[in-house]
Amino acid sequence: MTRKHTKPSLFLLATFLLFSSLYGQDGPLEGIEIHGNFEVYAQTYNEDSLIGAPNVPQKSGVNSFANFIATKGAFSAGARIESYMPPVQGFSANYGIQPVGVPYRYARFEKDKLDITVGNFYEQFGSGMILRSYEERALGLDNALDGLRVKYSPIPGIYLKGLVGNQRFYWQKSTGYIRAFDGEVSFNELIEKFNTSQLRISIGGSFVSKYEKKGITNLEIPENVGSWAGRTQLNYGGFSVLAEYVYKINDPNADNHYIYKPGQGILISTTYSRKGFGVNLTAKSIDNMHFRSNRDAQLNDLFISYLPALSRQHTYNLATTLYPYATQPAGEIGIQGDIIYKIKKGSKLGGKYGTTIQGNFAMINSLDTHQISNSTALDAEVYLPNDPNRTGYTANLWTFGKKVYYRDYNIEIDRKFSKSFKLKTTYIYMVSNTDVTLGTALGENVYSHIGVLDGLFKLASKHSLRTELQHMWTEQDKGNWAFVMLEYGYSPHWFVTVLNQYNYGNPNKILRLNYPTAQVAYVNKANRISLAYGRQRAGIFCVGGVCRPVPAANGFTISITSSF
Amino acid sequence: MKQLIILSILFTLVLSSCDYVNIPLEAPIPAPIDTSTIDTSVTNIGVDANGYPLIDTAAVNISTQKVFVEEFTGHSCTGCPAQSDKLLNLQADNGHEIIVATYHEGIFAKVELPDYPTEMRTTFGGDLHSFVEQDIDAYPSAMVNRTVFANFGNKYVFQAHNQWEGPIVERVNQANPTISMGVGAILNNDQTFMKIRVSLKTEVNLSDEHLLLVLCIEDSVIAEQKDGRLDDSVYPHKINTEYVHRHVVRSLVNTTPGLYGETVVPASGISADEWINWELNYGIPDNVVNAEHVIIVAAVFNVTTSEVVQVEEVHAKHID
Repeated sequence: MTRKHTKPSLFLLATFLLFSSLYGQDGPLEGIEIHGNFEVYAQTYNEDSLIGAPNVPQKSGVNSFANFIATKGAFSAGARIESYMPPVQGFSANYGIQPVGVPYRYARFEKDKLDITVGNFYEQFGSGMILRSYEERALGLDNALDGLRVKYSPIPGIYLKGLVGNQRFYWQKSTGYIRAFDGEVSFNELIEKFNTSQLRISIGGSFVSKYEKKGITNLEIPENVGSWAGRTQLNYGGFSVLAEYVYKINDPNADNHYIYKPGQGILISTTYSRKGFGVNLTAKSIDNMHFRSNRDAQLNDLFISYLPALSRQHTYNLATTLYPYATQPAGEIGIQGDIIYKIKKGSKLGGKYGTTIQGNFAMINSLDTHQISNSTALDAEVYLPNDPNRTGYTANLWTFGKKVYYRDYNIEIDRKFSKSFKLKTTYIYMVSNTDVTLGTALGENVYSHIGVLDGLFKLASKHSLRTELQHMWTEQDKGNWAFVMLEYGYSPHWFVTVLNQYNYGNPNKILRLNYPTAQVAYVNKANRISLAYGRQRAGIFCVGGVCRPVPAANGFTISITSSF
Repeated sequence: MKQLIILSILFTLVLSSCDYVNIPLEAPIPAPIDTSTIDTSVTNIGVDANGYPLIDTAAVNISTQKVFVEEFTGHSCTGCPAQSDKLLNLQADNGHEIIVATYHEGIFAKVELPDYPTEMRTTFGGDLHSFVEQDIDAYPSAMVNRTVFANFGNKYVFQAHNQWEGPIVERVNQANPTISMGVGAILNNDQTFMKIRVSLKTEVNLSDEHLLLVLCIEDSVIAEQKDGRLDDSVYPHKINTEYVHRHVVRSLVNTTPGLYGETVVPASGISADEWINWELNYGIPDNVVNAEHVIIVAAVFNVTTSEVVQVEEVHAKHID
């Protein structure tokens, strides 16, 4: 599946130490600037059978990394040292294969509209539906490319990118290679007389191909899988439209039971905004768009493409952690709308300081599909007389299927009542088909109502108190939840937080548990240190529709972040 | 200019990188199904007004009682293919006087990924296997006419060819059957249903209750099979992923559940030379991969002895 990662790490480390020692001195390396950041995230583990926290033999996990970036003129180079001793529970055990290493290093040259990177880099074409290489540390996700990237703008308004490389797979590299090209034309920059036009138009196109050797299988496997995408963006005054379509040729893989159906996806987003008012409507439809550099990869590993989330990224605990939505690359169709309106301050409704009202909805269903072959027959790798092309199913990209995946209707009212008191009130109604989106086996959708009161009291100069009262009503799964949080701030350095999640409505009385946590944090300029102790509920953590399971835990959590 | 050359090279690399596959897996060579032999004992001479096959009563086998062999096997059973081949040879050597139904049941029939993904177990096969499991010492095993053979170790279930050959040979070509039987099965055009008719003729006066069991069998199913005779270097783990499974039982056809089927001759009996018709418009089950490979097997049991008194089969066909 993967090949061993090369180890230029010692060389790079030595280079950086040399840079550091010469920093500020006279010599050929004079003028080199070094920046970076550092982070440690550690947890200790106590067994807690009630919440399902296991006895972790190593008793603790520590994830840490440090980025170093050295720049001089048009040149820059960087590296990231990572260590997992061992990985924090919930992050892939694959990180623990090598306790310390340098999985990310690069050298870059940028001059005269030319930008060349060798080594590791992150990249995104358009919305990412065809290619997005990125790092999301909270998810333990890093699909950085390793190879060569060239960006060039021959004339103003034309932007070209080309790259080759393979992807990071924990401490190894994908065996599949990626070759990609992207071009974008901004007509307003290209045509001089449109430079100042209110109407702004750009178009772009991408082509991405992966090469992966055929493994042991009876099937005729396409070793080169190509994908293309076209996009356009139009802005006029406060109005804008963004549309992107992506198509992928036959890409049999473990996610789709090795069918040869092409994949496709479309994303259309329209926005209108003016002072105090904004509205957005986004529609997305996806069919068979698992696109990875290894056809047998699973979970969040080795994705070439990223399918943007079509649901609001909630920030409140109960809405975020209990029934979040995970994007379904196999197939989904949905629409999302946002509206924000600021009622003028001084008006009857707006009050002395003004009031902001924000509404949002998301409706996501299965695609309308018709099955031709079932997964058992497909997995058997036998000739299918009724489906000789192994397309598996047919789908209509424009039609909602019958299965509800997710509904989210929410409204938020944010009002400052006085100089010392501000209140945000939120109501959320969610319907979650967790069996599909989170892999549960409930056999029914979860219908939940969530109410939130988020108050900020300014007690005195430098002293503030933030409170969050949250409640979830649901008759399904684990029943009702209550959440309370108090956060005392002594600015600019100290924050003390206590919070508790209480599953008082669990149908099983033994599982009506509290999940309390206390935390103290110290912030000084670009440095932050926090120490917490408490219970962590087993659940799902999602960022942008990409999720990872979070195991139950009981113990201390220490977090240190610093930039320099 | 240099930059444009680099980008052009990358662009060319990308554009030339698409492999379109039209036929991922070639159709296997037509399965070795010998339908002509299967149909010789019964002839469909057309359909009645309701679309059910008509049985040519003049062509029905009235001279012998055929032998019903029910085999238990599994896709991860290393020694099963060799034994099954011997059973098939025995069947061929005896002019298809032997009718075989193969149940994939037991520990070797479990679906185990990634090597054994194909589910060939059935509800009926599972029930029958549970019923006789205590008599199964190894796989493959087979029952012959569901008879206990006093002269063959008082056994009901026989392990492998060495054991089952004797009882089968003993029962082949037994003359003067108590029941003669013809079977017909007509597939509809979209291969979702078939109209089945079983016509029974009593050759003697019957004083016992008799049951009719009808099974849907798919012949020549292509799926994985471990086979100890294979070369590991050609077939990893000795698994042939394109093994041709013969006579795979897919489902019970009778609408009344039961290991012996449903009553066709009442306990009060019936006199000789009577014809009994059994019909069903049967929905082809989802586990059938190719409806044109379906064989309908009908077996009649004497309730008093619980033994098979006649068995017949027919290959389902379209009416042109």
